[in-house]
Amino acid sequence: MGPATLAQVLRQLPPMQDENLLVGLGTADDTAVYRIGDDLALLATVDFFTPVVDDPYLFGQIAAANALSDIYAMGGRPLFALNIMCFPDCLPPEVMGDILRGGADKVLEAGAVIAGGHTVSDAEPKYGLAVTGVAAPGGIVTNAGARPGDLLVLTKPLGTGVILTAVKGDLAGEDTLFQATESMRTLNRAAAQVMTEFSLRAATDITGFGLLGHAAEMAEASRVSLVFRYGAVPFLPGTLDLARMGLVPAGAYRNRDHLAERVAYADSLDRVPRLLLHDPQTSGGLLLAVPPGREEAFLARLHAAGVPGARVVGRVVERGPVLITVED
Amino acid sequence: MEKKLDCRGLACPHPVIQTKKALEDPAVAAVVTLVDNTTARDNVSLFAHNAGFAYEVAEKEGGLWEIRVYGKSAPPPAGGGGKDDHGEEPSVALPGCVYLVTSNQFGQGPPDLGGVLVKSLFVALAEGPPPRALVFLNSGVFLAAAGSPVLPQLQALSDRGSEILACGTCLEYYHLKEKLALGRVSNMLEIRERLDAAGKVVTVA
Repeated sequence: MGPATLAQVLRQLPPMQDENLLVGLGTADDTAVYRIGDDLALLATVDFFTPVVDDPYLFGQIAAANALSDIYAMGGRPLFALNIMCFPDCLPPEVMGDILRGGADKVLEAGAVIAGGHTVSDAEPKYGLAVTGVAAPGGIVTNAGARPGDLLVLTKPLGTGVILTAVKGDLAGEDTLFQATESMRTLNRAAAQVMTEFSLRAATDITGFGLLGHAAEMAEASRVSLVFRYGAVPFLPGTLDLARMGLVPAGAYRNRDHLAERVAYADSLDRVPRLLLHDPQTSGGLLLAVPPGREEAFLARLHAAGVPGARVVGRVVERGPVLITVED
Repeated sequence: MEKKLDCRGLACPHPVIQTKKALEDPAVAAVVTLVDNTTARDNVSLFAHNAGFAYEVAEKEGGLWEIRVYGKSAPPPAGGGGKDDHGEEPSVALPGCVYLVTSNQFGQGPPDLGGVLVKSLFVALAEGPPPRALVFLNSGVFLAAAGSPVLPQLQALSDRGSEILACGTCLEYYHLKEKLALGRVSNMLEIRERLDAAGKVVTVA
């Protein structure tokens, strides 16, 4: 669902008051955070969607990596997950088995376990997980901790929305799809571990609202403005060509229009680069705010930890009249 | 000919794919794609813009849009390049190339050499992407008339979508009006329009 519609619907809910609810709906963060003791907080998140790739096992892996990502973005450690499965009666049950196996393997890779789940009969398959994790209340990394001067690091290339749109039309090359799939099924665990090592204060994961959508949430929550450099933003191979062919998902247009008043682009950037910064991501990377002077050490550590795609893509500045500026 | 595509109710990326596919037919001068959402409208426009097709976007009643995409062999819309009416930057001019053939010989020199060269030029032309139009005038009209040494190549270009125009005044002058083998008789007004609208004009003299 688009950010505008979602905000509209959520406004109608009664306000939730609980002194132990450290992070709720208010700041559009990645997970709910609930304090259960002085030194322990529970993190909870849920995410599920329709198949993004044909291979059911890979789809299961991608859905699980995507659901786990919210826990990592908050600096948490996943403990257990519950499967959510919608499945048509007409498809062979082996397909469902393969999806669940993909999800289970990914949850095990994350050091967590599957503790149960729920299935619903539905016309189209959908799969995802509700994940529960823990963190020390002082170690929670929200999207509200970015400070002027920080550098913005993105840990995975963008482009999965465009590539998956091309896949639906059979227009993505095998190598393009392979690279996108590898990226989507990669856990954000290693990136999150390095984030914790460096005691970073602000992070979010990049999913449906695209890079600038999630960046805007960070800017709002942190009361700062952000400056991105388009030329520094990494994209999966093939993304630009496919977008130029007109294979841009509806979500990218929705995301762009939602932020139309709050983003200023360099004149030299035409329609396609602007849209790509709003491309909705499936199981995207983390966007992290790194204190100035530490970005090189941080990137080196990330690359060594198996996050080769991480790049500095922008910086945090004092809150100005424009929420997000995009340079060429 | 013009081809209409009803892409109402179709999810991204199918309107783009159908438009692209329809334009691959050289007999199609323009594709008119009807869509019912802004994503499809913008994606078909993006495709046309970046693939070098001229196009126009028109809003219809009831939340519908028609995107008219001109095939590369077709004459462009009035005013040249594509435009759309929803505030995005206009598309570039159609990059189609027009060959203006003013002689039945290629280059200044002995006539027999000029004839050999013009033949090789058309053989080379027939092997590459077809120009949007070939305009024949002065002694160039002999090349489009019966007995021309390049008729097979011209036919191939015509089959692949090149528009072939011959200057009527010139045909009359050389008494070739009844012998025009390919294309159609044109006038200086139309020829001027083709030249104005061309992305590039190559003169064969």
